[in-house]
Amino acid sequence: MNNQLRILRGMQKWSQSDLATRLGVSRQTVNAIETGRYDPSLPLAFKIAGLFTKPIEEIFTPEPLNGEASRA
Amino acid sequence: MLMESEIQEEPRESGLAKFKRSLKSNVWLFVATVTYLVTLFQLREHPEWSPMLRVALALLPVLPRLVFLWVLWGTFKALDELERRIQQEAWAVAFGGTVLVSTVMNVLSAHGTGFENYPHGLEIGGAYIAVFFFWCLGVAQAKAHYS
Repeated sequence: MNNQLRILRGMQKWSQSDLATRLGVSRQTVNAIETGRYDPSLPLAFKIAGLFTKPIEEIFTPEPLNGEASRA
Repeated sequence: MLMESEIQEEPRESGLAKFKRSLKSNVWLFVATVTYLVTLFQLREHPEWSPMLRVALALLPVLPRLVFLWVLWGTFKALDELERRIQQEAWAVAFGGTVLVSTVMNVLSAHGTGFENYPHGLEIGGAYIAVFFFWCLGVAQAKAHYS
């Protein structure tokens, strides 16, 4: 899953630690989400969306399925 | 966009709280180990003691171990979702690895192709060591994967 978390965090001028504190998770978790190595749970995704007052689908977008990108 | 004052901050365990919890669990693990060694020594030195007393002494180290597990459970509950995922994967590796090693030892021992000195596989001491080894391996692997 792709996400805009790093960009949104940058716009707020928050560090990963700042965001982690606001979300109630570890900095490691924020880093893993930003780098796309970990997909957050639905409750955490909603919390992130609520924090940035954006719909979830604006922050998290699914990766295209195999062959979808070439057909588009 | 939310104002700074409007943002709900989730209470999360501080570094000091984590340290205290870790210290607490290690103290109970130490107490459990010392109790085990003392009772082991006493039971070997006094075979004349009544069976009831021997059973009570043999089970005594279980109590601090239970407290240790309780503290460990509290630590697990305080983790965030990624940390829990890492621990789940690490424990899966620990369980699978220990079962695998134990099975290999048993099979080789049963066929007389090695480990004749270990007819009962890993036994409890070996199992503790194997679980710890594979748990460390699992944590390292999961952390490398997610960071």
